[in-house]
Amino acid sequence: MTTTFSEKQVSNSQRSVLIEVQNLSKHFEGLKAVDDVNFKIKAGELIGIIGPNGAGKTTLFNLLTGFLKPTKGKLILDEKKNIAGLSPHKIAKLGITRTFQLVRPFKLLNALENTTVPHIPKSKLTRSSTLKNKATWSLITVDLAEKKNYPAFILPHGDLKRLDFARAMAVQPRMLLLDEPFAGLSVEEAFRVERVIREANEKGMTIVIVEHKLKILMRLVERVIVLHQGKLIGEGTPKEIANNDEVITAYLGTEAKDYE
Amino acid sequence: MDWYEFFEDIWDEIKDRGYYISGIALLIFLPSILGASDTPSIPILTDIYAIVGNIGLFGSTNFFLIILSLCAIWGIFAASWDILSGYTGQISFGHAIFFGLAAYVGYWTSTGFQVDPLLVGLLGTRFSLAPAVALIFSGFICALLAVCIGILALRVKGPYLALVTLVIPLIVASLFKLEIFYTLTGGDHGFPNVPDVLTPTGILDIDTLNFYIFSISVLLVSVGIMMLIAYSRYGLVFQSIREDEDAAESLGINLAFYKILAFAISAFFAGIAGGMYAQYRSIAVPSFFDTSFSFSVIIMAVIGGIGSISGGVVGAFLLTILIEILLGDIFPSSVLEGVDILAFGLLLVITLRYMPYGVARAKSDQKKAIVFGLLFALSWAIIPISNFFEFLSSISIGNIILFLAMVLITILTLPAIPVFFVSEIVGLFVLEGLMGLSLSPKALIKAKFLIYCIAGIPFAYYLPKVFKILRLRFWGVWPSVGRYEPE
Repeated sequence: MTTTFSEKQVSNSQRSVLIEVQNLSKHFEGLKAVDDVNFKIKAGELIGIIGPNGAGKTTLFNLLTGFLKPTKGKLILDEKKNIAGLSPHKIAKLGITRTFQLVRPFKLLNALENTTVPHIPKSKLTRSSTLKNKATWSLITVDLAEKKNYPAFILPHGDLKRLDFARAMAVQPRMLLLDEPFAGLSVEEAFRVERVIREANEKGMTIVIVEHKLKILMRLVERVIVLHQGKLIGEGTPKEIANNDEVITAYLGTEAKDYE
Repeated sequence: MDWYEFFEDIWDEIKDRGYYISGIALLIFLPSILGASDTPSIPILTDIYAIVGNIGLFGSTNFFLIILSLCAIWGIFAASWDILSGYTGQISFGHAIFFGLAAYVGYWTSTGFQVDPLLVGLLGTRFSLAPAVALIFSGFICALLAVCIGILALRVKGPYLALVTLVIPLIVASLFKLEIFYTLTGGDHGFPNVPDVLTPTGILDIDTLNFYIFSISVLLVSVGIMMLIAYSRYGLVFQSIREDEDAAESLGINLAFYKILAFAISAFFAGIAGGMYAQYRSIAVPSFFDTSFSFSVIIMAVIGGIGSISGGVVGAFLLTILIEILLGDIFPSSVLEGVDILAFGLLLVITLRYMPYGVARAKSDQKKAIVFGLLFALSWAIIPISNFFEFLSSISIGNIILFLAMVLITILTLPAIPVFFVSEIVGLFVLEGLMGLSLSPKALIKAKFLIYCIAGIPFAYYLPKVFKILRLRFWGVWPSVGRYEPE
């Protein structure tokens, strides 16, 4: 286990930068939801973004995927193309997609149709049987194949989380942004989602996770980015972050430090 | 794959689409069943209708056929609304814009107009199209207009399409009424004598049978195309946009493109319906842009079932037959104006209460109740008028089958005897006495039939349930062969 970790550390420095966030800001009428944030995400990384409520994590996701246009700043993809302000479907075609904080399945469609939809824009000329096979394969990767004919509105919450994940995976993105993938899941369901995320990452997909369940997050990710009131206040491995004074202050307040 | 499995699969497919198949077969063979001239008669069914038609419920064969052609036109229109609003979730409150526009475009192109001197070399001095081509041409013009509206209203999120479509028909109608456009639009009175496919000169009396065949084939083809689109991958994308725009967009779906595509498809078929309506009425007038057209198509689609293309067709047939054949005679517009709007509202409330997804997607026992309720109502209307033994005076298979069916239905529906008294009271006392209508015998039988329908559908719904309770109470499970045997 330790050897694989060190191998990953070594290869980490050789990886190319997938996306570079430069001076990214988003202001809502004076409220600085995201304020001058800079960081880089390398290809194949598994990154966690944490921060207290209202820290701007979801706004950051919306900026990265084009659902909001930044007030200022750049998002450089592959060290050449600025994707800030493009519409979400164009960004999805460039290989960045997301899931939502609350599950948002297509309720009246069944599970198979849910995973068919993301395959359509890429493959307009493929035969429908091929399309169906691809969609079925997406369901198999998250263990939902036996429920493929169930309409989404009758599936339980844990299944819907995985369905959302499968749907986003079906876009075959280079970078996947997961907004609270473990929220509202039982321990067992969270474990299944965790395994699915880990498998996807091992195949080379860059994954960014926003999550409040720090215990799961810290054992899953390689690097953590901490936001507080729209500002980036810390960046590093989970161990470094756990010992970072500023982060502890932001999360637990100044009094917590006095108790130590 | 085994042959047995193969046939079993096919049988399952047929069973799933039983209502479609029987509906389409009925539409195709209807002229023969009604005994229209120049059609081959179908042995048993034609005999039966010869007796059923005697009660004068559906009027003459020609009248019934022309009403069914109208149903087909409304069916195309309702289905076209459904592909935009039911499938893609973009509500249009002014679909009549395409209805009216297509009527005018159809008139302009099929009567022909002087070509601009610059284009004479290309088109000749006078440009005109055959009515059938004009129909498709006006559909394309409507699709073009839809793309223009869509680029303005559909690229932004929000209810802007609903607002825009609410206003545009009113603007266009008032533009068309302007005096300065009189030569182009015919002003307030529009154009009489729109050439139709069968009589290109635009003379009023059209051949009903041929118009029926024409409109039913256009209905089948265009609804078939719409269903192919709806069940294709594009239909899937449309549905995903309806369910969740943001999620669909995050998966790489170009919202604006697909919304405008759906709008254009919808407008194309709405245009075809509008062109056919103009040919059916032989006029093109500004009242085709009326809000009442836009709203009745919505009500038809909602009652039939939103989000299933066939639902709009079902709703259109049910409501048009109800309005044109039954209510039109019972309450002539001189007595009670707007009875159709009243009926629409009432039916809408009842449908949304008991079948929120519409008739086409109702539960199977509700669907059966509607079919059997209508059959019961029909036979109750026949029973008091006909002499049973008259059937047997000329012995044919049709007569005997009808006789046996009557006997069976009479026995089955004995508990519904009070309905007859109610129908007498409502027909004679309420309508004639209180409301002061002078009902002709023809209108009286229609009024009674309406009451039979109102009573028959709930009756047909509860009959099997009551029967099941009684059977379990007094008889046990029957037939008790190997399934369940209480000791």
